[in-house]
Amino acid sequence: MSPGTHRQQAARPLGPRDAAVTVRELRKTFPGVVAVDHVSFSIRPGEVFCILGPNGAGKTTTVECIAGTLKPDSGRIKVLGIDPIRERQQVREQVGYQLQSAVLPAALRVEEAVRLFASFYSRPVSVGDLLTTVGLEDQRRRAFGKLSGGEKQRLSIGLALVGSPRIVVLDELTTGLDPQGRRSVWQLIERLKGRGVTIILVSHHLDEVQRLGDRLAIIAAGRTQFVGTPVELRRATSAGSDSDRTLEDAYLAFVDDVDPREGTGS
Amino acid sequence: MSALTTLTVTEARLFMRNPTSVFMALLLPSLLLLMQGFVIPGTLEPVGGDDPALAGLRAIDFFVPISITVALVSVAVTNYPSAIGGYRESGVLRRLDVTPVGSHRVLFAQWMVSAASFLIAITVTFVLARVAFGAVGPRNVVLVAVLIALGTLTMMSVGSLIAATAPNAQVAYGVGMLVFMACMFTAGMWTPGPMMAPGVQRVTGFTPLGALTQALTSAWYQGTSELAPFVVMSVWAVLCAAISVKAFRWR
Repeated sequence: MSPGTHRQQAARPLGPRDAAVTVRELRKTFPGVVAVDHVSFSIRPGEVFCILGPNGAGKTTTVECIAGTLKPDSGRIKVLGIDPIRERQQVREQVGYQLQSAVLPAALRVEEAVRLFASFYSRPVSVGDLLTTVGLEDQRRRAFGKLSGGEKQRLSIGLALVGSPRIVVLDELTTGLDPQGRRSVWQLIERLKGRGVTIILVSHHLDEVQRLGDRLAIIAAGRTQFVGTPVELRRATSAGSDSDRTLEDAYLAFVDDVDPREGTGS
Repeated sequence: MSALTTLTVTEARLFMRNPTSVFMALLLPSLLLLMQGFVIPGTLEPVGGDDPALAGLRAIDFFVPISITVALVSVAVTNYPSAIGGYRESGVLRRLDVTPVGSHRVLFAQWMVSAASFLIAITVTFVLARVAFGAVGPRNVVLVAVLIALGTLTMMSVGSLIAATAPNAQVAYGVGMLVFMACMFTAGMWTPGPMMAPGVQRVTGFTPLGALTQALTSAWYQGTSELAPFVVMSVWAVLCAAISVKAFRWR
Protein backbone atom coordinates (compact mmCIF):
# COMPACT_ATOMS: atom_id res chain seq x y z
CA MET A 1 0.00 0.00 0.00
CA SER A 2 2.87 2.34 -0.72
CA PRO A 3 1.66 5.65 -2.08
CA GLY A 4 3.55 5.45 -5.37
CA THR A 5 2.01 2.28 -6.77
CA HIS A 6 -0.70 2.66 -9.37
CA ARG A 7 -1.70 -0.91 -9.94
CA GLN A 8 -5.41 -1.69 -10.13
CA GLN A 9 -6.76 -3.08 -6.93
CA ALA A 10 -9.92 -5.07 -6.86
CA ALA A 11 -12.38 -4.85 -4.00
CA ARG A 12 -11.81 -8.10 -2.15
CA PRO A 13 -13.90 -10.05 0.32
CA LEU A 14 -13.37 -8.69 3.80
CA GLY A 15 -12.22 -10.70 6.76
CA PRO A 16 -13.89 -10.17 10.13
CA ARG A 17 -11.10 -7.83 11.23
CA ASP A 18 -11.01 -5.70 8.06
CA ALA A 19 -12.71 -2.32 7.99
CA ALA A 20 -15.30 -1.62 5.30
CA VAL A 21 -14.25 2.02 5.25
CA THR A 22 -11.31 3.81 6.81
CA VAL A 23 -10.87 7.55 6.89
CA ARG A 24 -7.60 8.94 8.21
CA GLU A 25 -6.91 12.64 8.82
CA LEU A 26 -9.23 13.74 6.03
CA ARG A 27 -8.93 17.38 5.01
CA LYS A 28 -11.03 19.09 2.34
CA THR A 29 -11.27 22.81 1.69
CA PHE A 30 -13.43 24.82 -0.65
CA PRO A 31 -12.49 28.34 -1.73
CA GLY A 32 -12.45 30.32 1.51
CA VAL A 33 -13.77 27.50 3.73
CA VAL A 34 -12.20 24.55 5.48
CA ALA A 35 -15.00 21.99 5.23
CA VAL A 36 -13.31 19.19 7.16
CA ASP A 37 -9.95 18.83 8.82
CA HIS A 38 -8.66 15.90 10.90
CA VAL A 39 -11.65 13.63 10.30
CA SER A 40 -10.81 10.02 11.11
CA PHE A 41 -12.87 6.90 11.75
CA SER A 42 -13.27 3.36 10.54
CA ILE A 43 -16.43 1.46 9.78
CA ARG A 44 -16.84 -2.26 10.32
CA PRO A 45 -18.48 -4.49 7.73
CA GLY A 46 -22.20 -4.97 8.29
CA GLU A 47 -22.67 -2.23 10.85
CA VAL A 48 -24.87 0.84 10.75
CA PHE A 49 -22.46 3.70 11.24
CA CYS A 50 -24.00 7.11 11.91
CA ILE A 51 -22.35 10.42 11.16
CA LEU A 52 -23.77 13.21 13.29
CA GLY A 53 -23.05 16.86 13.63
CA PRO A 54 -24.47 20.36 13.34
CA ASN A 55 -25.49 21.73 9.97
CA GLY A 56 -22.49 22.70 7.91
CA ALA A 57 -20.12 20.60 10.05
CA GLY A 58 -18.76 18.67 7.07
CA LYS A 59 -20.84 15.48 7.21
CA THR A 60 -21.84 15.50 3.55
CA THR A 61 -18.34 16.53 2.47
CA THR A 62 -16.99 13.50 4.34
CA VAL A 63 -19.34 11.02 2.69
CA GLU A 64 -18.78 12.59 -0.72
CA CYS A 65 -15.08 11.94 -0.28
CA ILE A 66 -15.90 8.33 0.63
CA ALA A 67 -18.06 8.01 -2.49
CA GLY A 68 -15.24 9.42 -4.62
CA THR A 69 -17.14 12.45 -5.90
CA LEU A 70 -14.90 14.86 -4.02
CA LYS A 71 -11.13 14.64 -4.01
CA PRO A 72 -9.64 15.17 -0.54
CA ASP A 73 -6.90 17.77 -0.15
CA SER A 74 -5.06 15.41 2.13
CA GLY A 75 -5.63 12.36 4.28
CA ARG A 76 -6.31 8.77 3.30
CA ILE A 77 -9.55 6.97 2.50
CA LYS A 78 -9.98 3.29 1.76
CA VAL A 79 -13.31 1.81 0.77
CA LEU A 80 -13.31 -2.01 0.79
CA GLY A 81 -9.53 -1.73 0.64
CA ILE A 82 -9.46 0.49 -2.46
CA ASP A 83 -8.90 4.18 -3.13
CA PRO A 84 -12.15 5.94 -4.10
CA ILE A 85 -10.41 8.50 -6.31
CA ARG A 86 -7.99 6.24 -8.14
CA GLU A 87 -10.51 3.41 -8.49
CA ARG A 88 -13.64 5.53 -8.94
CA GLN A 89 -15.43 3.03 -11.14
CA GLN A 90 -14.87 0.15 -8.71
CA VAL A 91 -16.01 2.16 -5.72
CA ARG A 92 -19.13 3.39 -7.48
CA GLU A 93 -20.09 -0.19 -8.27
CA GLN A 94 -19.76 -1.07 -4.58
CA VAL A 95 -21.17 2.02 -2.88
CA GLY A 96 -24.84 2.89 -3.26
CA TYR A 97 -25.54 6.50 -2.51
CA GLN A 98 -28.80 8.12 -1.50
CA LEU A 99 -28.24 11.85 -1.79
CA GLN A 100 -29.60 14.47 0.50
CA SER A 101 -32.60 16.03 -1.27
CA ALA A 102 -31.89 14.69 -4.75
CA VAL A 103 -35.04 14.79 -6.79
CA LEU A 104 -35.88 12.78 -9.91
CA PRO A 105 -37.75 14.27 -12.87
CA ALA A 106 -41.41 14.51 -11.83
CA ALA A 107 -42.66 12.67 -14.93
CA LEU A 108 -40.35 9.67 -14.46
CA ARG A 109 -42.24 6.58 -13.29
CA VAL A 110 -41.09 4.36 -10.45
CA GLU A 111 -40.30 1.32 -12.56
CA GLU A 112 -38.60 3.40 -15.25
CA ALA A 113 -36.35 4.99 -12.64
CA VAL A 114 -35.35 1.59 -11.26
CA ARG A 115 -34.70 0.13 -14.74
CA LEU A 116 -32.66 3.20 -15.66
CA PHE A 117 -30.44 2.95 -12.59
CA ALA A 118 -30.19 -0.84 -12.97
CA SER A 119 -28.64 -0.26 -16.43
CA PHE A 120 -25.75 1.63 -14.80
CA TYR A 121 -24.41 -1.34 -12.85
CA SER A 122 -22.73 -4.57 -13.87
CA ARG A 123 -24.60 -6.73 -11.35
CA PRO A 124 -28.00 -5.14 -10.76
CA VAL A 125 -30.67 -6.75 -8.59
CA SER A 126 -33.95 -7.75 -10.20
CA VAL A 127 -36.34 -4.85 -10.61
CA GLY A 128 -39.27 -6.78 -9.14
CA ASP A 129 -37.31 -7.82 -6.03
CA LEU A 130 -36.11 -4.30 -5.45
CA LEU A 131 -39.61 -2.84 -5.69
CA THR A 132 -40.80 -5.42 -3.18
CA THR A 133 -37.91 -4.63 -0.84
CA VAL A 134 -38.77 -0.95 -0.75
CA GLY A 135 -42.53 -1.61 -0.72
CA LEU A 136 -43.32 0.10 -4.00
CA GLU A 137 -44.49 -2.90 -6.01
CA ASP A 138 -47.97 -1.41 -6.33
CA GLN A 139 -46.63 1.97 -7.44
CA ARG A 140 -44.66 0.81 -10.50
CA ARG A 141 -46.52 3.02 -12.94
CA ARG A 142 -46.76 6.11 -10.75
CA ALA A 143 -44.76 9.22 -11.63
CA PHE A 144 -42.12 10.33 -9.13
CA GLY A 145 -43.88 13.69 -8.75
CA LYS A 146 -47.05 11.92 -7.55
CA LEU A 147 -45.40 9.91 -4.76
CA SER A 148 -45.67 10.82 -1.07
CA GLY A 149 -42.57 11.98 0.79
CA GLY A 150 -42.01 8.56 2.32
CA GLU A 151 -42.48 6.80 -1.02
CA LYS A 152 -40.01 9.16 -2.71
CA GLN A 153 -37.49 8.45 0.00
CA ARG A 154 -38.00 4.69 -0.26
CA LEU A 155 -37.51 4.91 -4.03
CA SER A 156 -34.39 6.96 -3.49
CA ILE A 157 -33.06 4.28 -1.12
CA GLY A 158 -34.07 1.64 -3.65
CA LEU A 159 -31.99 3.35 -6.33
CA ALA A 160 -29.03 3.31 -3.94
CA LEU A 161 -29.49 -0.47 -3.61
CA VAL A 162 -30.07 -1.34 -7.25
CA GLY A 163 -26.43 -2.17 -8.01
CA SER A 164 -26.32 -4.69 -5.12
CA PRO A 165 -23.76 -2.55 -3.26
CA ARG A 166 -21.80 -3.71 -0.20
CA ILE A 167 -21.94 -0.23 1.30
CA VAL A 168 -24.89 2.15 1.25
CA VAL A 169 -24.62 5.84 2.14
CA LEU A 170 -27.88 7.41 3.30
CA ASP A 171 -27.76 11.18 3.69
CA GLU A 172 -30.54 12.94 5.64
CA LEU A 173 -32.69 9.87 5.40
CA THR A 174 -35.91 11.01 7.02
CA THR A 175 -35.70 14.80 7.07
CA GLY A 176 -39.08 16.22 6.16
CA LEU A 177 -40.99 12.95 6.46
CA ASP A 178 -44.14 12.47 8.54
CA PRO A 179 -44.06 9.87 11.36
CA GLN A 180 -45.48 7.12 9.15
CA GLY A 181 -42.95 7.89 6.44
CA ARG A 182 -40.09 7.77 8.92
CA ARG A 183 -41.34 4.51 10.40
CA SER A 184 -41.53 2.82 6.99
CA VAL A 185 -38.04 4.03 6.07
CA TRP A 186 -36.62 2.81 9.38
CA GLN A 187 -38.15 -0.63 8.89
CA LEU A 188 -36.54 -0.78 5.47
CA ILE A 189 -33.12 0.04 6.96
CA GLU A 190 -33.56 -2.67 9.59
CA ARG A 191 -34.29 -5.22 6.86
CA LEU A 192 -31.16 -4.13 4.97
CA LYS A 193 -29.07 -4.44 8.08
CA GLY A 194 -30.32 -8.01 8.41
CA ARG A 195 -28.78 -8.74 4.99
CA GLY A 196 -25.28 -7.67 6.03
CA VAL A 197 -25.03 -4.48 4.01
CA THR A 198 -22.77 -1.86 5.61
CA ILE A 199 -24.77 1.32 6.11
CA ILE A 200 -23.44 4.84 6.57
CA LEU A 201 -26.20 7.03 7.92
CA VAL A 202 -25.78 10.79 7.91
CA SER A 203 -28.29 12.27 10.29
CA HIS A 204 -29.04 14.81 12.92
CA HIS A 205 -32.01 12.98 14.33
CA LEU A 206 -30.93 11.38 17.58
CA ASP A 207 -33.98 9.09 17.74
CA GLU A 208 -32.95 7.67 14.39
CA VAL A 209 -29.40 7.10 15.55
CA GLN A 210 -30.67 5.54 18.78
CA ARG A 211 -32.89 3.14 16.90
CA LEU A 212 -30.67 2.18 13.96
CA GLY A 213 -27.08 2.97 14.81
CA ASP A 214 -24.43 0.50 15.98
CA ARG A 215 -21.73 3.12 16.26
CA LEU A 216 -21.49 6.80 15.54
CA ALA A 217 -19.06 9.61 14.81
CA ILE A 218 -19.69 13.21 15.74
CA ILE A 219 -18.21 15.73 13.36
CA ALA A 220 -18.24 19.34 14.54
CA ALA A 221 -16.14 22.30 13.50
CA GLY A 222 -14.70 20.10 10.75
CA ARG A 223 -13.20 17.47 13.10
CA THR A 224 -14.24 14.10 14.45
CA GLN A 225 -15.07 14.84 18.06
CA PHE A 226 -16.24 11.40 19.09
CA VAL A 227 -16.32 7.86 17.71
CA GLY A 228 -18.05 5.04 19.56
CA THR A 229 -21.33 3.38 20.42
CA PRO A 230 -24.40 5.31 21.64
CA VAL A 231 -23.83 3.84 25.11
CA GLU A 232 -20.25 5.05 25.11
CA LEU A 233 -21.39 8.51 24.09
CA ARG A 234 -23.79 8.70 27.03
CA ARG A 235 -21.12 7.44 29.37
CA ALA A 236 -18.54 9.91 28.04
CA THR A 237 -20.72 12.89 28.80
CA SER A 238 -22.44 11.87 32.02
CA ALA A 239 -19.24 12.54 34.05
CA GLY A 240 -19.97 9.93 36.65
CA SER A 241 -23.26 11.51 37.74
CA ASP A 242 -26.78 10.42 36.78
CA SER A 243 -26.53 7.74 34.14
CA ASP A 244 -29.95 8.10 32.54
CA ARG A 245 -29.31 11.00 30.21
CA THR A 246 -30.87 10.64 26.80
CA LEU A 247 -28.67 10.27 23.75
CA GLU A 248 -29.79 13.73 22.68
CA ASP A 249 -28.62 15.28 25.97
CA ALA A 250 -25.31 13.51 25.57
CA TYR A 251 -24.91 14.63 21.99
CA LEU A 252 -25.78 18.26 22.78
CA ALA A 253 -23.46 18.32 25.74
CA PHE A 254 -20.72 17.04 23.49
CA VAL A 255 -21.34 19.47 20.65
CA ASP A 256 -21.81 22.42 23.03
CA ASP A 257 -18.43 21.67 24.56
CA VAL A 258 -16.83 21.76 21.17
CA ASP A 259 -18.61 24.53 19.40
CA PRO A 260 -20.97 26.62 21.50
CA ARG A 261 -22.09 28.64 18.46
CA GLU A 262 -23.79 25.77 16.73
CA GLY A 263 -24.69 23.14 19.25
CA THR A 264 -27.73 24.68 20.85
CA GLY A 265 -31.14 25.69 19.72
CA SER A 266 -32.16 22.74 17.51
CA MET B 1 -30.06 -2.48 -22.67
CA SER B 2 -26.86 -0.52 -22.19
CA ALA B 3 -26.78 2.46 -19.84
CA LEU B 4 -26.53 4.90 -22.72
CA THR B 5 -29.49 3.43 -24.60
CA THR B 6 -31.62 3.34 -21.46
CA LEU B 7 -30.71 6.94 -20.66
CA THR B 8 -31.61 8.04 -24.18
CA VAL B 9 -34.93 6.18 -24.14
CA THR B 10 -35.71 7.69 -20.73
CA GLU B 11 -34.85 11.20 -21.93
CA ALA B 12 -37.07 10.68 -24.98
CA ARG B 13 -39.96 9.61 -22.73
CA LEU B 14 -39.52 12.62 -20.48
CA PHE B 15 -39.39 14.86 -23.54
CA MET B 16 -42.70 13.49 -24.81
CA ARG B 17 -44.28 13.99 -21.37
CA ASN B 18 -43.28 17.64 -21.23
CA PRO B 19 -45.83 19.78 -23.13
CA THR B 20 -43.50 22.80 -23.29
CA SER B 21 -40.74 20.76 -24.94
CA VAL B 22 -43.11 19.22 -27.43
CA PHE B 23 -44.57 22.62 -28.30
CA MET B 24 -41.23 24.41 -28.63
CA ALA B 25 -39.62 21.62 -30.60
CA LEU B 26 -42.32 20.15 -32.77
CA LEU B 27 -45.18 22.62 -33.10
CA LEU B 28 -43.74 26.14 -32.90
CA PRO B 29 -41.86 26.03 -36.24
CA SER B 30 -44.91 24.71 -38.10
CA LEU B 31 -47.22 27.21 -36.43
CA LEU B 32 -44.90 30.09 -37.33
CA LEU B 33 -44.87 28.93 -40.92
CA LEU B 34 -48.65 28.63 -41.06
CA MET B 35 -49.06 32.04 -39.50
CA GLN B 36 -46.72 33.62 -42.03
CA GLY B 37 -48.60 31.99 -44.90
CA PHE B 38 -52.19 32.50 -43.80
CA VAL B 39 -52.21 35.52 -41.51
CA ILE B 40 -49.50 37.93 -42.67
CA PRO B 41 -50.65 39.56 -45.91
CA GLY B 42 -48.59 39.39 -49.09
CA THR B 43 -46.38 36.43 -48.19
CA LEU B 44 -47.73 34.41 -51.11
CA GLU B 45 -46.75 37.04 -53.71
CA PRO B 46 -43.37 36.96 -55.48
CA VAL B 47 -40.87 39.20 -53.70
CA GLY B 48 -39.11 40.25 -56.91
CA GLY B 49 -35.61 41.68 -56.61
CA ASP B 50 -32.58 41.77 -58.90
CA ASP B 51 -31.37 38.21 -58.51
CA PRO B 52 -33.01 36.23 -61.33
CA ALA B 53 -32.67 32.93 -59.43
CA LEU B 54 -34.66 34.30 -56.48
CA ALA B 55 -36.95 36.80 -58.16
CA GLY B 56 -39.76 34.31 -58.78
CA LEU B 57 -39.88 33.16 -55.16
CA ARG B 58 -42.59 34.20 -52.73
CA ALA B 59 -41.88 35.40 -49.19
CA ILE B 60 -43.30 32.14 -47.86
CA ASP B 61 -40.66 30.22 -49.80
CA PHE B 62 -37.99 32.02 -47.83
CA PHE B 63 -39.78 30.99 -44.66
CA VAL B 64 -39.20 27.30 -45.34
CA PRO B 65 -35.48 27.38 -44.51
CA ILE B 66 -36.17 29.95 -41.79
CA SER B 67 -38.69 27.64 -40.11
CA ILE B 68 -36.19 24.82 -40.24
CA THR B 69 -33.60 26.92 -38.46
CA VAL B 70 -36.23 28.01 -35.93
CA ALA B 71 -36.97 24.34 -35.20
CA LEU B 72 -33.31 23.82 -34.56
CA VAL B 73 -32.68 26.84 -32.41
CA SER B 74 -35.76 26.43 -30.23
CA VAL B 75 -34.63 23.00 -29.08
CA ALA B 76 -30.97 23.92 -28.84
CA VAL B 77 -31.30 27.09 -26.76
CA THR B 78 -34.50 26.50 -24.77
CA ASN B 79 -35.39 22.81 -24.32
CA TYR B 80 -31.90 21.41 -23.94
CA PRO B 81 -30.45 24.04 -21.57
CA SER B 82 -33.55 24.10 -19.37
CA ALA B 83 -33.49 20.30 -19.07
CA ILE B 84 -29.84 20.37 -17.96
CA GLY B 85 -30.38 23.42 -15.71
CA GLY B 86 -33.26 21.55 -14.07
CA TYR B 87 -31.06 18.49 -13.55
CA ARG B 88 -28.42 20.64 -11.91
CA GLU B 89 -30.89 22.28 -9.55
CA SER B 90 -32.72 19.11 -8.53
CA GLY B 91 -29.53 17.12 -7.95
CA VAL B 92 -29.98 14.70 -10.86
CA LEU B 93 -26.48 15.50 -12.14
CA ARG B 94 -25.01 14.83 -8.68
CA ARG B 95 -27.05 11.66 -8.34
CA LEU B 96 -25.83 10.34 -11.70
CA ASP B 97 -22.29 11.30 -10.77
CA VAL B 98 -22.22 8.73 -7.93
CA THR B 99 -23.18 5.87 -10.27
CA PRO B 100 -20.58 3.98 -12.32
CA VAL B 101 -21.69 5.66 -15.57
CA GLY B 102 -21.25 9.24 -14.34
CA SER B 103 -23.32 12.26 -15.24
CA HIS B 104 -21.80 13.28 -18.58
CA ARG B 105 -23.74 10.60 -20.43
CA VAL B 106 -27.01 12.37 -19.75
CA LEU B 107 -25.70 15.17 -21.99
CA PHE B 108 -25.19 12.70 -24.80
CA ALA B 109 -28.74 11.40 -24.26
CA GLN B 110 -30.04 14.97 -24.47
CA TRP B 111 -28.16 15.54 -27.73
CA MET B 112 -29.65 12.37 -29.21
CA VAL B 113 -33.18 13.32 -28.22
CA SER B 114 -32.66 16.88 -29.54
CA ALA B 115 -31.35 15.59 -32.85
CA ALA B 116 -34.32 13.25 -33.19
CA SER B 117 -36.76 16.03 -32.42
CA PHE B 118 -35.10 18.29 -35.05
CA LEU B 119 -35.54 15.63 -37.67
CA ILE B 120 -39.21 15.23 -36.84
CA ALA B 121 -39.79 19.00 -36.69
CA ILE B 122 -37.99 19.57 -40.00
CA THR B 123 -40.01 16.84 -41.71
CA VAL B 124 -43.32 18.13 -40.34
CA THR B 125 -42.47 21.72 -41.31
CA PHE B 126 -41.49 20.78 -44.83
CA VAL B 127 -44.51 18.54 -45.45
CA LEU B 128 -46.75 21.34 -44.22
CA ALA B 129 -45.05 23.94 -46.44
CA ARG B 130 -45.42 21.61 -49.39
CA VAL B 131 -49.07 20.75 -48.80
CA ALA B 132 -50.32 24.19 -47.70
CA PHE B 133 -48.21 26.47 -49.88
CA GLY B 134 -46.82 24.29 -52.63
CA ALA B 135 -43.23 24.90 -51.52
CA VAL B 136 -40.52 23.32 -53.65
CA GLY B 137 -37.98 20.81 -52.33
CA PRO B 138 -34.29 21.65 -51.93
CA ARG B 139 -32.29 21.92 -55.11
CA ASN B 140 -29.21 20.44 -53.49
CA VAL B 141 -30.32 17.85 -50.93
CA VAL B 142 -26.80 16.82 -49.91
CA LEU B 143 -25.70 20.39 -49.26
CA VAL B 144 -28.89 21.09 -47.29
CA ALA B 145 -28.32 17.97 -45.18
CA VAL B 146 -24.71 18.93 -44.49
CA LEU B 147 -25.76 22.45 -43.52
CA ILE B 148 -28.47 21.17 -41.19
CA ALA B 149 -25.98 18.81 -39.54
CA LEU B 150 -23.41 21.55 -39.06
CA GLY B 151 -26.11 23.99 -37.92
CA THR B 152 -27.29 21.43 -35.36
CA LEU B 153 -23.80 21.05 -33.93
CA THR B 154 -23.35 24.82 -33.85
CA MET B 155 -26.64 25.61 -32.14
CA MET B 156 -26.25 22.76 -29.64
CA SER B 157 -22.85 24.23 -28.75
CA VAL B 158 -24.45 27.64 -28.29
CA GLY B 159 -27.15 26.01 -26.12
CA SER B 160 -24.42 24.24 -24.13
CA LEU B 161 -23.08 27.62 -23.07
CA ILE B 162 -26.39 28.20 -21.27
CA ALA B 163 -26.64 24.59 -20.10
CA ALA B 164 -23.11 24.70 -18.66
CA THR B 165 -23.80 27.17 -15.89
CA ALA B 166 -27.55 27.84 -15.53
CA PRO B 167 -28.39 27.16 -11.87
CA ASN B 168 -31.92 25.99 -12.68
CA ALA B 169 -34.47 25.40 -15.43
CA GLN B 170 -36.08 28.85 -15.15
CA VAL B 171 -32.85 30.78 -15.63
CA ALA B 172 -31.86 28.52 -18.53
CA TYR B 173 -35.26 29.03 -20.12
CA GLY B 174 -35.20 32.81 -19.66
CA VAL B 175 -31.71 33.24 -21.10
CA GLY B 176 -32.60 30.74 -23.83
CA MET B 177 -35.67 32.76 -24.81
CA LEU B 178 -33.57 35.93 -25.21
CA VAL B 179 -31.08 34.08 -27.38
CA PHE B 180 -34.00 32.54 -29.28
CA MET B 181 -35.48 35.97 -30.07
CA ALA B 182 -32.10 37.31 -31.19
CA CYS B 183 -31.64 34.23 -33.36
CA MET B 184 -35.08 34.67 -34.95
CA PHE B 185 -34.08 38.19 -35.93
CA THR B 186 -30.75 37.15 -37.42
CA ALA B 187 -32.48 34.30 -39.23
CA GLY B 188 -34.76 36.85 -40.90
CA MET B 189 -38.05 35.87 -39.30
CA TRP B 190 -39.25 39.47 -39.75
CA THR B 191 -37.24 40.30 -42.86
CA PRO B 192 -37.09 37.10 -44.92
CA GLY B 193 -34.56 36.65 -47.73
CA PRO B 194 -33.91 39.77 -49.80
CA MET B 195 -36.15 41.89 -47.54
CA MET B 196 -33.30 42.15 -45.06
CA ALA B 197 -31.19 45.20 -45.87
CA PRO B 198 -27.81 44.18 -47.38
CA GLY B 199 -25.87 45.88 -44.59
CA VAL B 200 -27.83 44.03 -41.91
CA GLN B 201 -27.47 40.84 -43.89
CA ARG B 202 -23.71 41.20 -43.88
CA VAL B 203 -23.71 41.60 -40.09
CA THR B 204 -26.14 38.75 -39.38
CA GLY B 205 -24.00 36.60 -41.66
CA PHE B 206 -21.50 36.49 -38.81
CA THR B 207 -24.07 35.12 -36.33
CA PRO B 208 -24.53 31.36 -36.24
CA LEU B 209 -28.18 31.35 -37.24
CA GLY B 210 -27.81 34.17 -39.78
CA ALA B 211 -25.04 32.22 -41.48
CA LEU B 212 -27.10 29.04 -41.43
CA THR B 213 -30.23 30.64 -42.84
CA GLN B 214 -28.41 32.43 -45.65
CA ALA B 215 -26.48 29.30 -46.62
CA LEU B 216 -29.58 27.14 -46.33
CA THR B 217 -31.62 29.50 -48.50
CA SER B 218 -29.09 29.56 -51.29
CA ALA B 219 -28.51 25.79 -51.07
CA TRP B 220 -32.25 25.23 -51.17
CA TYR B 221 -33.12 27.46 -54.12
CA GLN B 222 -29.85 27.85 -56.03
CA GLY B 223 -28.12 24.61 -55.14
CA THR B 224 -24.90 26.27 -53.99
CA SER B 225 -23.49 27.98 -50.96
CA GLU B 226 -20.56 30.22 -50.25
CA LEU B 227 -17.79 29.03 -47.99
CA ALA B 228 -18.13 31.85 -45.45
CA PRO B 229 -21.19 30.46 -43.57
CA PHE B 230 -19.37 27.15 -43.01
CA VAL B 231 -16.43 28.99 -41.51
CA VAL B 232 -18.68 31.22 -39.36
CA MET B 233 -20.64 28.24 -37.99
CA SER B 234 -17.54 26.14 -37.35
CA VAL B 235 -15.89 28.95 -35.42
CA TRP B 236 -19.01 29.43 -33.27
CA ALA B 237 -19.33 25.68 -32.71
CA VAL B 238 -15.72 25.17 -31.62
CA LEU B 239 -15.62 28.31 -29.51
CA CYS B 240 -18.89 27.67 -27.65
CA ALA B 241 -18.11 23.98 -27.16
CA ALA B 242 -14.69 24.78 -25.72
CA ILE B 243 -16.06 27.39 -23.30
CA SER B 244 -18.92 25.09 -22.25
CA VAL B 245 -16.62 22.18 -21.51
CA LYS B 246 -14.39 24.46 -19.45
CA ALA B 247 -17.25 26.15 -17.59
CA PHE B 248 -19.58 23.18 -17.11
CA ARG B 249 -20.72 22.88 -13.50
CA TRP B 250 -21.58 19.33 -12.57
CA ARG B 251 -23.13 20.31 -9.23
